[in-house]
Amino acid sequence: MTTKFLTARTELLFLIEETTKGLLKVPIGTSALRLIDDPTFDQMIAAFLSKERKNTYDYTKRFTTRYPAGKFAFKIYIKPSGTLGTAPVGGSCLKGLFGKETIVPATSVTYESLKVSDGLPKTYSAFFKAGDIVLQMSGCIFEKGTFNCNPGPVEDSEVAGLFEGEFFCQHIAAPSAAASNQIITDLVVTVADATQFLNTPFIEVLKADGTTHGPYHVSAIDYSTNVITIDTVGGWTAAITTAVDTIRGYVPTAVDSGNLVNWAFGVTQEDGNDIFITGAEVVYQNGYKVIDNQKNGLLYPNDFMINGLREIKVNNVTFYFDAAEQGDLFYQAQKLQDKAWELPFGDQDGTTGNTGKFVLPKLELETSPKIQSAGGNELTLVENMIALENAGSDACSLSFP
Amino acid sequence: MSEPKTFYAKYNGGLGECPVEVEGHGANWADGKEHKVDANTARSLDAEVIERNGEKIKLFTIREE
Repeated sequence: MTTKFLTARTELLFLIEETTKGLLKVPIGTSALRLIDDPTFDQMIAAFLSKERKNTYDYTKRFTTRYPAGKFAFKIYIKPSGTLGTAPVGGSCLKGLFGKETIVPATSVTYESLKVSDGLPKTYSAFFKAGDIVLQMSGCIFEKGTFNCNPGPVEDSEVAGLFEGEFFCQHIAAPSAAASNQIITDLVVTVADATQFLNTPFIEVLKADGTTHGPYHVSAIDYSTNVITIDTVGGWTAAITTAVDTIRGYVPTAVDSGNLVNWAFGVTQEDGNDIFITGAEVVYQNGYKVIDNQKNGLLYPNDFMINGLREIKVNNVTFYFDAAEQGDLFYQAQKLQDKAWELPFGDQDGTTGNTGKFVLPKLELETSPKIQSAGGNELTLVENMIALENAGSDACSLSFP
Repeated sequence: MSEPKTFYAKYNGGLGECPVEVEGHGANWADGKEHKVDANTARSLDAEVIERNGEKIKLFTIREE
């Protein structure tokens, strides 16, 4: 029975670049990301019904096979550091999405797209804690980022990113009491319920006095004897010789930094001229595919490829309609004329180190613009644009500042 | 039985000019002073290393008494 009730305020997310593709890596406190909406970290179980024809109208049996790639989605604020040349909070997501992070000391941090010659992007480990359970995802790849530019005086005007992608394997650790008077001297511990753990997660050991040891990497779980075996990957250094109270999923103490910034700051530049938009949405979509059908004897995916083109769009760009200014957009759309955009954001004072901008050097209208009166009588113009490369894999970049 | 140790952590900078917050500790870390933390937090903060220009920087200095 449920005896305690937890809230979403207990949620914590950590994201860290993996050293080895798909090998779960322990995050540190500064890997912390603060969620602003419900996240998704799901790995479906591929279970199918048996087709055996038996003398019954009921389903008779299900069977499982290997696991498909998991899917994740989460939304966070992108928070500049306040210092030139120091990456923003959320920089790990941006590097995962764009592929490249270039830091020029005391000057800038720029996220740029991968060139063909750059190979595959990095994979990431995500540790998501909700209440007492910790879901640990290895092999996260960032497939899509959505950035809504909302310059009005509304709560959604903060600069945020919705990040979506896939991962290889979900490792799970929920708390379980240790068997009474347990000490850990030989890398094994007996717990009350080993089914609280799945797929070799990182755990920590909580002692009766409230102190913890860890993180330790679980190498094996015996569900019949409730014995958990720890390997030395997690940094096992010494035996724990006082009684262990609980074994639970590991997360570090979160260290927060960064400044909230908004879209009200700055003026959009089109071919070097000011334009006053009332909204836009930048959507950056990679063409990645997790390989889950290679007969390699594994239950979980362990690799991915780039199998599609990168699609970057600036959708739902809205203006108050002025035919004298914008009548030529129809011509631009028909003649496939391109234009360069810079879409800035920042804190209200435009403080150096707290600003950033999307740079899209070659945007073309995908269709003719639409004239509409959304929400009121005023006429607005809506354009949807597609980003093309200008000088080599540069269709979109994001720089601070 | 040994005496329980007291741990202090000092933020060395490295994450930019913005305020730094440590989960569960409302201290003003930007003041450059030591703040008392529990053993678990000390262990966690001691592991905070970031890389800047190829150089590894330790974000916090831990002292125990």
